[in-house]
This record gives sequence, structure tokens and C-alpha cells, in this order.
Amino acid sequence: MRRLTGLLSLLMVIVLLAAPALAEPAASPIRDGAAVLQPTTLADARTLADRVWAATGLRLAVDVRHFLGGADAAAYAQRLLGQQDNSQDTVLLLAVVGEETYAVASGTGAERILGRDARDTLLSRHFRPAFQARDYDAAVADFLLGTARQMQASTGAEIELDGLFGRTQAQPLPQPSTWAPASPAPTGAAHKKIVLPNLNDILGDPISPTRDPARAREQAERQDRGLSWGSIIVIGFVLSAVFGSKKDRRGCGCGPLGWILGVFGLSKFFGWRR
Amino acid sequence: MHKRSTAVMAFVLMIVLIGASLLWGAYRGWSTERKQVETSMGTLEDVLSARREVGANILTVARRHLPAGDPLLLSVQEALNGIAQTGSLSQRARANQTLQEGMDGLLAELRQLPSLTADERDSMYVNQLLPQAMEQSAHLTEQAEYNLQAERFNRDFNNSFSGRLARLLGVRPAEQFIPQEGDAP
Repeated sequence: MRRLTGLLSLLMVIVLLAAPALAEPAASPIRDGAAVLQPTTLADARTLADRVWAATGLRLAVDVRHFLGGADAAAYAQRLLGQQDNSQDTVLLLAVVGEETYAVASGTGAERILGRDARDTLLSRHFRPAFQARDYDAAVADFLLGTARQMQASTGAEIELDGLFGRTQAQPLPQPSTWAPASPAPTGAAHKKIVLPNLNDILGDPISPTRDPARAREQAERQDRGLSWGSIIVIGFVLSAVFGSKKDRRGCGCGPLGWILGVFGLSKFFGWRR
Repeated sequence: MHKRSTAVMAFVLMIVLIGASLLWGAYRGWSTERKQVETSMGTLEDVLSARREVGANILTVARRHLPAGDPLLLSVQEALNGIAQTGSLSQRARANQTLQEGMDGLLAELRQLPSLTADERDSMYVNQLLPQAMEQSAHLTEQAEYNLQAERFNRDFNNSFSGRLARLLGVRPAEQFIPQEGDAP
């Protein structure tokens, strides 16, 4: 009984220690694959998404990329939506910076609260002008704030918006006329070095990384040795039985071992075994 | 006499059986290996698909700064179509080579344009992001599992005695993703 208690206690300790490692952190629904958003924008977007979820049960998701490799933005947004946890209650904004396109996809549950017309209005009024002006922080902020306010109005829930994206709750969203058309950068501006960490970040269909070719080659060569030892031994015995010493002592005088070694030598000579 | 003729017959039979088993073993072994090489074709298709997407991204940026009829732009588009087609591997390799040359030329042309120099974002794409993507996708294409397996198969097939036997029975070397002279994309 004492031993059993000790074992159970040990098991509990192991489970408690391992639980944080076992619990997979949920992938953030706010993703900036293009690294164009400020850290504060990302942090505020995640905070807002958490508050909206707590108040309404709906999820806000954002995915920013440089390119989609020629894929259609609307179809790609739908695909991304399908990969979200609880996609039925999710509104996903896809912004493709390099292709100057964007799309929104929402699940059936989310569409009951934020209809397509309302969504399209939010996009055209509060996202597109800033996006075309290349102020991606403002574009994402305005869209998320506008969406949160719309959800607030539709559900009657209270969502705390104060302080997010540097705005107060009562501050209205900028009007489309506020945004100037995209202006080119000053000439001679120094470019910070951009590193492409993962080719999949600019592809529509991610590819699996190829294996290290040197290892793959070694593995294949290890697996392929040609004639196996078993085959060599069998052939050796067969030849020994046919040509080996006979009752009248007229065989070649070689025993099975000699034949096996002979076959091994031949296999090396002809390359049957590597 | 009778014993001698029996021994000779046994010997001949043994040689025939050994020969037949060698031929059969060579054929079966090498044709199985060739099938294994072909099953890794999927890895090559994956990397070629990535290559096409990188090309599409370059065209997206290029179309903002060049007219639709620009020869380099059209050449890259044609090469992208050539890779996507179901031609022989050597034809698609030729198209891939043409695509690489086209993309290099297109990026070089874009870098000369004042409209691109004035655009910080597109300038970053043309000078940094897209060349890196091109280089990574080219490296992945060269190192695709299919290429490595086909190369190894052909080297062993051509240099072994059993490979020569298998060739007599109709087993052919694996087609490699290498452009041949005279192939049109």
C-alpha cells in the first residue's frame, strides 16, 4: 500500500511537471508573415482579438504576407480560414502586401453577426485607403477596431477598446479622405537588410523541405548492398554440393566455406555486392 | 561414360540455371530500383511548383513597372508555362534554365528603372527578397530528391555488371532533370 501510494505520488509529480510541455500553445490568429507591422500593432491586435472573443465568442484573425505565388486572395483567405481553430466563428483578414490585394473570409457563425455588406463596407472605408497608402499598421488597426465596434453594436456586448492602437474608445476612425495616395519613398533611402527565412512565406502552396542530400545519399547507399550474405552462403552451399568432394574423392576438394568465400570474391569482383 | 555425360549435363544445367537466375535477379533488382526512383518524382514536382510561384511573384512586381509587351516579361511568362507543361524532363529542365535566365534579366532590367528606385517596397523586393527566393528555389530544384536518386541510380546502373545484364532485358536509365541540347521548352 505504501509502495502504491509512493508510485501514484511520483506519477502525479511527473504529470504536473510535464503538463506545461504537453500543452501545445495555440497558434496566434494574428500573423505577420511579411514583418511589416510594428510590434505594438501586433500586440494590440492580439489583445483586441482576446477581448472580442471574451465578449462575443467570435474570433478575429489577421494574416499578412508579401506574396501568394499567384494564388487568388479570396480563395486563399478561405483556405486559411479553414485552418483556424473554431473557423465557424472567425473573421479572417488576409493582406498581401506585395500583390496589393486583400480579402476577408468569415465563418457562418461570424457572418450572422457581421454580414457581408458590413464587412465589405469596413474593408472599403477603413482598410483600403490606409492599405493603398502603405500604412499597414493603420490599415489593420482601423479594420480591427471597426470590426470590433460593429460586433459590439450587433451583439450589445461591451468590448473595451480604450488605449488600443494609440486610440481612445470615443475616438472615431479616420475617414477615407484622410489618406493621401501612396507616395514613393525618398530616393536614396537606405534599405534595411531583409532576409527571407523561409521560402514558404512567399508561396501559395508551401513545400516540404528536402532532406539533407548528403544524408539521403548515405542512407540509400547503406540500404543497397546488392547480394546479401544469406544469398552468398546459399550459393556457396549449392556450388559445394555440385562440385564438392564426392565418395570417390574426385571433387575439387573444397568445402562449403571455400565456395562461400569464392562466391563472395566473385560478387566483389563483378560488383554484385558493394 | 554414362556418369561422365550425366556430370556434363548437370554442369551445363547448373550454368544455365545460374545464368538465368543472374539475369532474372538483375532485371528484378534494377527495375524495382528504377520504380523507387520514379516514386520520388513528387519531390521534383513540388520544387518546380515553388519555382513557378517565385516566377509569378517576380512578374507581379514587374508588371507594375514595365509595359505588358516587354520582351523579358513575356519570356519569363513563356518559361513558366514551359515548366508547367507535361513534356519530357529534359524539356522542362531547359524551360527551367530559360526561366532562371529570364528572371535574372528581368530583375536586372527592373533595377535600372527610375520608377522602381523611387519605390522603397518594390525596390526591396527586387534587390533582396525575390533574388533570395530565386536562389533558394534554384538550390531546392538541384537538390530535389528525384535528381539525387536518378543520378545515383544511373551511375550504379551504368557501372555494374548486373546493370548491363538488366539493360539487355529492357531496363533503361532514369531520366534526369538536365537540359539536353536541342530541347525546346
